[in-house]
Amino acid sequence: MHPRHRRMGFQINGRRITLVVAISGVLILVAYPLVQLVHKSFPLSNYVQQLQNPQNMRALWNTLYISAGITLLATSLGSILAFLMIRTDLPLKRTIRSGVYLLFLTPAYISGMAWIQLFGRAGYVTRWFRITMGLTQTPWDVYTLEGVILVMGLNMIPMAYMATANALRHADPTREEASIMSGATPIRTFFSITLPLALPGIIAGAFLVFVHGISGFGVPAMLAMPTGHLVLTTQIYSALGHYDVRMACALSVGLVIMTSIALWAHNVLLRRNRFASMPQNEQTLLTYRMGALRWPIALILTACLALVALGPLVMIGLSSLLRAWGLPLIGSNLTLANYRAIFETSVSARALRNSFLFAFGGASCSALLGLVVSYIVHRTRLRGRQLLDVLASAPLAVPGPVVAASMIFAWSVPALRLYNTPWIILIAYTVAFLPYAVRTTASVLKAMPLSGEEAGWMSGRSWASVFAGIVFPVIRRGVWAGWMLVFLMAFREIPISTMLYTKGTETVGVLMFILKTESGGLEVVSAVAVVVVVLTAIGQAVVGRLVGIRKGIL
Amino acid sequence: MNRNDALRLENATKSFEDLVVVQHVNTTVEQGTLTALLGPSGCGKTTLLRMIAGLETPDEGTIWLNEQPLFQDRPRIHVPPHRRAIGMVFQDYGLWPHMTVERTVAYPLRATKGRHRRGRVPSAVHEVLSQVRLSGLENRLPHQLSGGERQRVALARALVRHPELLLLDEPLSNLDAQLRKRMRSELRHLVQATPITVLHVTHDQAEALAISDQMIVMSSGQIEQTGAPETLYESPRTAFVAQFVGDANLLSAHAEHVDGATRLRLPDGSVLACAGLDVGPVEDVYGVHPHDVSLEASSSSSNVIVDRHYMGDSWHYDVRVGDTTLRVQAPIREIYDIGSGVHLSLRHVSRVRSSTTETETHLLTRPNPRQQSSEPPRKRRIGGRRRSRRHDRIRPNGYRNQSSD
Repeated sequence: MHPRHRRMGFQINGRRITLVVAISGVLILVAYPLVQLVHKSFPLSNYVQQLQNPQNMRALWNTLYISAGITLLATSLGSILAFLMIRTDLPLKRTIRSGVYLLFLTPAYISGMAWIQLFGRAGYVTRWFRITMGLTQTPWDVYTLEGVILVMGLNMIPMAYMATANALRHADPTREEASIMSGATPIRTFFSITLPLALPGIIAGAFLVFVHGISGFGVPAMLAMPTGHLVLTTQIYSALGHYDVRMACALSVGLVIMTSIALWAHNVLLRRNRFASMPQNEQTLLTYRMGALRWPIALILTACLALVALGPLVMIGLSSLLRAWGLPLIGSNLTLANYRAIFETSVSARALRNSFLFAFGGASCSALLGLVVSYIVHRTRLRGRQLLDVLASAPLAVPGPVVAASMIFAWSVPALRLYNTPWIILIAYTVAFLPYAVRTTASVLKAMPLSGEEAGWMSGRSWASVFAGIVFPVIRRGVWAGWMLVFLMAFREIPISTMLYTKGTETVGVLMFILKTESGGLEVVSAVAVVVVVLTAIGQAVVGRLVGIRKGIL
Repeated sequence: MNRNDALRLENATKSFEDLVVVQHVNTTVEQGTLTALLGPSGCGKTTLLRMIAGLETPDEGTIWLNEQPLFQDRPRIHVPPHRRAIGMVFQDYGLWPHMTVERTVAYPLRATKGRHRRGRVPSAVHEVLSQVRLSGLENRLPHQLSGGERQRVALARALVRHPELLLLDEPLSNLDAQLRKRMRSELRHLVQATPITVLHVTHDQAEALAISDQMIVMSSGQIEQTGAPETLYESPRTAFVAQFVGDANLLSAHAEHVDGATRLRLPDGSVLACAGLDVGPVEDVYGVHPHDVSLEASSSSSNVIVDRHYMGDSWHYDVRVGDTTLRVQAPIREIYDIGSGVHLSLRHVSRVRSSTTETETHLLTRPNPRQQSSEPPRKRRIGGRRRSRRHDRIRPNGYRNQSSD
């Protein structure tokens, strides 16, 4: 036997260097800032003190209230929609799916902006309603916690939809056929077999929605903060604004504990759901017939989705064309000047360039790190690889404002003063979106049989040469898809850059956040929002192409 | 309709998009028998079974169960599957992971409202569970059961309503060889103990031969032959049945009588002595089981052993006869070296079909399958290889290429 082959079971140099770099990278980038955060939140008496602060308690209750509302709204609507789409003979499925996809493409913050423009105090619908009804008062108020629930809940329908759709698609058709052959009617089969078997998946999706509800920053900051309703994320933001480090740290740790519990529940349920295994051979799932209700249901759904998904985008699109926001929506008031303005005004042009560079850099770093981490986790027997996996996915449970807070504390120490430089945003993006890069890469890596790699080694190639010549070409698409996902999320991200930017490092997120709060130039922000949505649509199409699914994951 | 027929299918046809899976099937299943539906995978047997169950809707045709129509194309009758008195055991059992054995087996009784009084459910469940020897496992969940136990739960669930017809979709294929043998005889006992009609889908000819009263052999969406196992084994009517059921050697040959003995003359001129064949001088295809060939050492013979396999209880030899290679199964004491000459005699030969040899030659040598142009254009069929064979395949009742007569 060739000596090099015998050594292959252990590490050869290229491999060992990669390992060391990856592990220390994850430790420094992910673990160190979180440790700093926990460290600064101590002693325990600080927690007691923070809990006694009535403002914090209100923020906590507000957070739970909006998250519960969002979860209920998104999960109920999303699951019903998924069931109707996947398991029934509903017509107009393409149209409905496009509606859900449109909703998926629109960032929550941007639909929030649109809702304000439609239903806000000076919103177009509000004004029209007041004039036609002859009212002097606004009949509704979007600047409430309920407004947050409505905007975020509707925006997260696609997330709940995907979770339920996944559970329903992976159902084993023979289980339902066995029920039918036992003499049960389709309705009874639905309630005693289909629903119980899909329920773990649906609840797992609900927990995911819940996590996004408590981590949400942009919409609560836009709709609830102006009227004094704070949630934990916005409370952390304002605590940092007051330089109240102890409050910011304690709340951050509390928030991460909450998201971690919800994510843990999500994972447990998802794993439990594995008992609804994949069908053995390609069999078509039982189709529930809707009979005479087919068309009415389909038309109502289409109308609702047009309102919820298309309405906000049309509003944003129209206001991006207005000479000044608030003018009547007639032809003579429309212009393309806003689009010219975003590239000509120095701040917005700089924001676009910065966002592009940060997102590009962040995506590249996390894709590279994610590649190495997922290789170690899924392809080596290295001790501690599970810990590496946990660390690399940990940022999933860390909401944006907490990432930003931990970065401030970690990189303000005298030896490593990156705060107030562009680098801190780049690092924060790399950390915050690393889990997405790891997951996309891991999924393709797991699908690649180990024998392909082993055959390369047995052909006498070194580990590095096999990796470059065999492994990477196979998993390339997954790595690029992960890169693109991170890029898209980073490009439109709001809380991290809002809390970390300084003069000269403004981003698109900052622009959307600030122009909103400065209550001016809404027509220009709308133009920026249109750019973001268009870019997201293109990027998601690319991701879909790369992983071989049209319309991304829907 | 024969009074004894529990199930009757007339002209049943089903296609998926432009793929014809079941084509004009006419067949009956006799009351109280275990009938095997045998065929290679993709031949349409499972689709046929699912059509009887009601899980697939035929494109045309009629299905009757005990003189009640389950399906009829015109005027339209379609009894939904849950209203058919049919029990079914699925290939992967289709057990419900969230239900215990007891709840699973009680489900069909509770699902059919009114017919069973509530108080009677536990005793009915208990009865059927003891029948399949699952007493004591009532509170187990499917993942706490072994493969054989899971299968018996599926069987109990199918039997508990006392269905008029029991459908089994390859129920033994997920079990290991030992367990399969045991379940085979258990299934047989069960059918004998209860007055139930069973239709059993399988691709395993040994299984079908061992447990069934009747066999229906399917290929490419059509029925090849129906009959008792021994009939199909000993007197196959088509080359497909001879090969698939009996694993026979197929010889395209001319039978002739010389000095009171019968012999087969192969196209290349080689001659095989045979017994048990009483036909006049005729050119046809003949099937010979490997164990119906006896060997005798003969250094002068031009028939040579080209390969051999030790099977434990016998030897399998490949013997070259002229241009043909014959598979021969010989007793374990009869040992011949590769390359040695042997003399062959055929103990039993069955004449596979009575039409001309043209199509036979195709079957044996598989030349261009598109030779028949008399055939009207047909829809695409399942599987590339079978499709080409289908074109020269033989209709169950024989005559197909009148033009070549």
